[in-house]
Amino acid sequence: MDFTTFVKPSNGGATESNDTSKLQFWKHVKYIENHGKQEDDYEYCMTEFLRMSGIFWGVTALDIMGQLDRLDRKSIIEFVKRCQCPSSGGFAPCEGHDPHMLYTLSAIQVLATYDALDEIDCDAVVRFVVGLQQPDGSFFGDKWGEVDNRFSFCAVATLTLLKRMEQTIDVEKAVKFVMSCCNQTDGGFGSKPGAESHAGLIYCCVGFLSLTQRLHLLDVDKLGWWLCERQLPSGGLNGRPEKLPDVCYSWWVLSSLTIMGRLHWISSEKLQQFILSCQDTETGGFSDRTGNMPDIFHTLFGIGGLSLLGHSGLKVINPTLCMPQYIIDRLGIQPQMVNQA
Amino acid sequence: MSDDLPEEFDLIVIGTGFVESCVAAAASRIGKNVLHIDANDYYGDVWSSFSLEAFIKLLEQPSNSLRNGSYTWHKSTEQEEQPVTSWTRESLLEKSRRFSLDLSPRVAYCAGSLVQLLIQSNICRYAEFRSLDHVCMLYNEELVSVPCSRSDVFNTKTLTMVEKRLLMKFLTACNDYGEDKCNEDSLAFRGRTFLEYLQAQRVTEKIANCVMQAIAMCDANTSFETGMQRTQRFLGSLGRYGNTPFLFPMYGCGELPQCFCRLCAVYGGIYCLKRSVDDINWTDSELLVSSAGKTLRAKHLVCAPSQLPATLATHFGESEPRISRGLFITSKPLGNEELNKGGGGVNLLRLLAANGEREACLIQLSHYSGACPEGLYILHLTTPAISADPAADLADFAAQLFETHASQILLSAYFTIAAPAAEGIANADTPILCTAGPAYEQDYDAAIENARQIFSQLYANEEFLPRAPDPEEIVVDGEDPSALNEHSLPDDLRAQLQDLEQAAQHMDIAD
Amino acid sequence: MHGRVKVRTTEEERERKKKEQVLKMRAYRAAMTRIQKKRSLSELDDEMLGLTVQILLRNPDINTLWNIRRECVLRKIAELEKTIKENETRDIQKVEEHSEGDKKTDDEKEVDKKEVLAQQLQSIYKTELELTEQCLMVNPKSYNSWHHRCWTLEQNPEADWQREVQLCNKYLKYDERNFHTWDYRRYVSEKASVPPEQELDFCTDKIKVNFSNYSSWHHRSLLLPTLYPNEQQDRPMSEHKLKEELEMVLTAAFTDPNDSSAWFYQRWLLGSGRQSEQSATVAAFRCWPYKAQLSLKSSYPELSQLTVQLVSEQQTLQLQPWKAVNSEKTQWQCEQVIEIEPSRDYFLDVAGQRKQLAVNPNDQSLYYFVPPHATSSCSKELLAELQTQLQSCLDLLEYEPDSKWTLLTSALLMRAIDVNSYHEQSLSHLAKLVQVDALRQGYYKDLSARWTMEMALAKWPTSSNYPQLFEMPTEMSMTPYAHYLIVADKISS
Repeated sequence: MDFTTFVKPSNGGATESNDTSKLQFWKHVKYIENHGKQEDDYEYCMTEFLRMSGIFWGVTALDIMGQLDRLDRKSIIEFVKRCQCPSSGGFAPCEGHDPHMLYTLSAIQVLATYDALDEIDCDAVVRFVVGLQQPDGSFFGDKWGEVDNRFSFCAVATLTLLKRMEQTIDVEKAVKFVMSCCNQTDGGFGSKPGAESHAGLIYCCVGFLSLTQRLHLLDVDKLGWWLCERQLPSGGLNGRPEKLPDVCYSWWVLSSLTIMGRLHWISSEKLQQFILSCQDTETGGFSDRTGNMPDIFHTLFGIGGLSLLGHSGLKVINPTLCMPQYIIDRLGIQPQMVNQA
Repeated sequence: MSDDLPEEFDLIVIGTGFVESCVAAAASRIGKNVLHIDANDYYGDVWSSFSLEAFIKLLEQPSNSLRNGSYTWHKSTEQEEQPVTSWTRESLLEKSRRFSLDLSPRVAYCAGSLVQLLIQSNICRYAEFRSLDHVCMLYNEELVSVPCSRSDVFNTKTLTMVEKRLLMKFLTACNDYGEDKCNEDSLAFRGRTFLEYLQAQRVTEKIANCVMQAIAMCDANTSFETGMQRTQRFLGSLGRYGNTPFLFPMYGCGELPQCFCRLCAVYGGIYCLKRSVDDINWTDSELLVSSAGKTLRAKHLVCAPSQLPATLATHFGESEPRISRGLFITSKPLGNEELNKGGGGVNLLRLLAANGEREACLIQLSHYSGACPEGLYILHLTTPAISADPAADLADFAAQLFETHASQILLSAYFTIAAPAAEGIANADTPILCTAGPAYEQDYDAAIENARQIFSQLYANEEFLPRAPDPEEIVVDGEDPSALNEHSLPDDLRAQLQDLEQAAQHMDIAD
Repeated sequence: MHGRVKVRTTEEERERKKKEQVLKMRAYRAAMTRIQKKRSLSELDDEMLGLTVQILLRNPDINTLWNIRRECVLRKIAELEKTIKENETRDIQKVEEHSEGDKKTDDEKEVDKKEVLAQQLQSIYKTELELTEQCLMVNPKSYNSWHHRCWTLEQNPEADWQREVQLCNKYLKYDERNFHTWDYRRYVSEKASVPPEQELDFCTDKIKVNFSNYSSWHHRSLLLPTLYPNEQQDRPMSEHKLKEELEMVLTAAFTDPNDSSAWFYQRWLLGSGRQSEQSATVAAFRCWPYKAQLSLKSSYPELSQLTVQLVSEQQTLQLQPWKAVNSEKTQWQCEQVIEIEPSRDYFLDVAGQRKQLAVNPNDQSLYYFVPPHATSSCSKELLAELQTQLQSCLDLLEYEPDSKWTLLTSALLMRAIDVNSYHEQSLSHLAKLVQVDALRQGYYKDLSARWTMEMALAKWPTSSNYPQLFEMPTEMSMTPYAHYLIVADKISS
């Protein structure tokens, strides 16, 4: 089973120039469509262990570009269904692999996008998530005991999409654990208590607080300053001080600032330039940095970033769940955001 | 050996000093048939390193290139309470072979011409270096370490907060200098001195000293351009190997000519030590070398000035004092504990005298350099000769070092390195190409330039010391470089494939 | 997927690479197929371990393969333990059967056997540790490899935690910013009971080698408050240590003001320490006969959980229930009939904090107001250090008037020394920052508005119009502290 079977016959797009100052819309559509189409694509084969997330990245990017119908809904849903573990209720990245919190969220995101949550056993998913909460409020990624705030985010995001956050997990304890990871120096978060602040984990924790309606616990001024200092002269954002800029960190910082109502603390214009410069004008797709190899992961965060920045021709994306806003509205979910103070 | 020596060569090189060895290696590397001989029983000529006994013997036998030798043994003045550590002449001589005493000690910039040449030619695989521990300067008669990196500047206690910033800013500006051609500074200071530029940067006196003495290695008359170039050379060599921009060859500088000789020999060069030349004659097409009753013929001949037969030496002009050298063995390193962590540093210090008109270079070697036994230190002092009395030439500098900085000198030695003047060599009316002999310089720039120039005179269109392949890089003729067979796979992958394919035969793979 | 440069390869190279990839893929697929088959047959044996090694060494991110290894390890341990138990029961039987004379030799044999089994057990753990070490060489940021290492050590009651600390030293030499290694270091140094003083020394050494190391400054910030606690909690650590740290961090910044690693640490040092999260501090209060409004310094999740009382000599009135007026949950309102007799003295009591209320001459409402942000006073020594630092910064600005870091730091130092007298000067630094650091101009503008508002609120109680009229400082694009203004009847701009 690979991505090929999800792709409907394409009808090609208009020709575009190789200009990185403009969004190479159709090239990206093609890039995602063709992802995994080539037989014996080495990268594709070697990344099967995260296939479910790969599908989420592709599906979401295409949906943001209004091109979701290029993928075959039915076969994707079938694939996702086959990945649900009958005993634990969690989702594996692909058949033959074990279920995990990370892929469970991706699966639920994909199904929510296709309005197909009724096709699976949602109670089993809830059981899987609830079963992984620990007495201190943290979450394991799977039964093997890794603790990380990424999993706290996955847990509440999954339950939010399923509208089952009430009376399932202990939200108070979960919040307490996440807040125990908040660093005094910069107001940011790491993966566990004491861990250094990191933009990816900050996104998870800010997103977590947004979903649990606890944004007031953040020191927005302190954290906002650290986040806006991630912007480098190139316009791109890095994930930690003195690191290189990266399209995916650009997303994580940008979405966190948006949730915190502090998007205006960085230069949107320069960030947009940076993201566009990371397009591969030959093959389509976005890479982590200008001139590097594109991949599907950075392609979603490139497109998603541009959407948050209000780029024309893209649907609005929700900063907390990294999904098209219309789906969040359809589900009637309202992740919290701080007003621009 | 002499009996089975071939008689015809493309090139005969006489003398195994640095420049000669360089030329020999370069010629051999491009396929020339080279004979490399030396009258001495050791490699390196005046570029060699010696055991203590051999060094003393050398001082007692003046030669054309090494003269005015003298040495004095000093009584250890160390306190009576520690007789165990006190060294005597006898105990030093007992360890004679543990010393590598250089006649022409140098340090090499990490990105300088020597290091570049060694890397470019792949001769570096024969060489081993120690990164210098400290570059020092004298400030208010005190020996202090010059900060050579961001972390040095951060950690040093000798600069104030604002001085730290000013030094960093100045060095960053020098480092970036030249990228912007329209830079105001470059226009404003063209034709003026580096000191004037430095003063215009509003740096403190201490920083000015630090830059002038140790980084740009300037005097008051050095031009802006030269000073800037030297500063950039210093900065460009930072952060490569170790904490300072300098390297010192392990076991002494005498190792370097031998590295080149090794490459020469790998490519077929023939070596004969203890082989003196009686006379050299020439015809229109070849040179005839009479040596040990045999006549050797070569298309070209390169010779060290020190090894020219007496009959020919006059063609190249009189040998004159070029470098005044002092060599001290002491049981106490110069400077404080900070400069000599863990048993002594390998340190560099540039000294100035006579109102900055004259300079000398001091290299302190501890046992970490492999050039002396633990607990002892070699101090190499070098200055351009201004007289035939090396001790007099160095007196000012030695005073700066030893009067205020208590040192336990056990042996002090002085000598002069002499060579014919450059004009003499250039104007010689013979087909013999004579090398220049050691000059006073940091690094080997002039020596390498000399070798390069001689090489291009011999083989105008050939590359000078191109990269020599490592043994494993040699490709067998007729092999398709793009072919990928299972043998060229990494071992583990190959084994894995075999295992798996065997296993796969026994099961039906539902793919 | 990160940091791979796209290079145009020659056709030759491309072909070669392609062939290699096809072979690798074949190997991967064959191994995966075999692994899954064996797993379905519950063959958790040495062959299985061997198969997973081959893939994990190339791709340590495949979580499922680590799971399989853990299953194999657990199986092996269970088998070993079973053998040990069986031996024990057999020995007990033997002891019962045998005569006294033979017992000794049996004991010796028993010891040997136990020894062998214990060694076998340790070698199982060792294999796993070695594999993770190899995998971390391939990918030092592999979450799965790090976790498998932790899991293995946790299984082993005789784990050598000290060795793990040494391993961290080694790894941090290769990459001093790898946050996985730092996380792991915190985990294992706790297990190995490394004293925090020693960790602090390690941090200091790392910073001496390269102060451009945010990870190290971070680690430091965790250790200092415990090692040098500040009694009043209004500073991150004891003033004595704070002074030293300020000096070190300023040295780093002067050496390279463009390196941002130390900026956050420094600002933290200049800040007011850990904010007490639990207490709800009253910033402003107002109460009319029909409703009450209460503003807090910082947000509080649910005000109704606290006892809020209006107290006078005659009576005590519970104010309930409270509803949040803003999303930050700093401003609350309670609609309730409240009898007010202006001639009486009233107090507000919020969870034991008692505030005396004043009467608004305009509408006879009761109010309380305290301006935000009073800087905590500092000792003479600390003040002297701050002043020295400010002077150094101002000296530096003479040389580098556009230095972003110096502009911001000096503004922060000024405010730490004396908010009032440096108010205008600190704002002028922000105005300059808007120009020299245009990317973040929004931040500086907001910060400027904040400081301006803080000043206006601080001065307000002394103005003649207080509390009826609050005059908004000019050019405010946003209104921080708006919830403090519940006390005013009118806000003029």
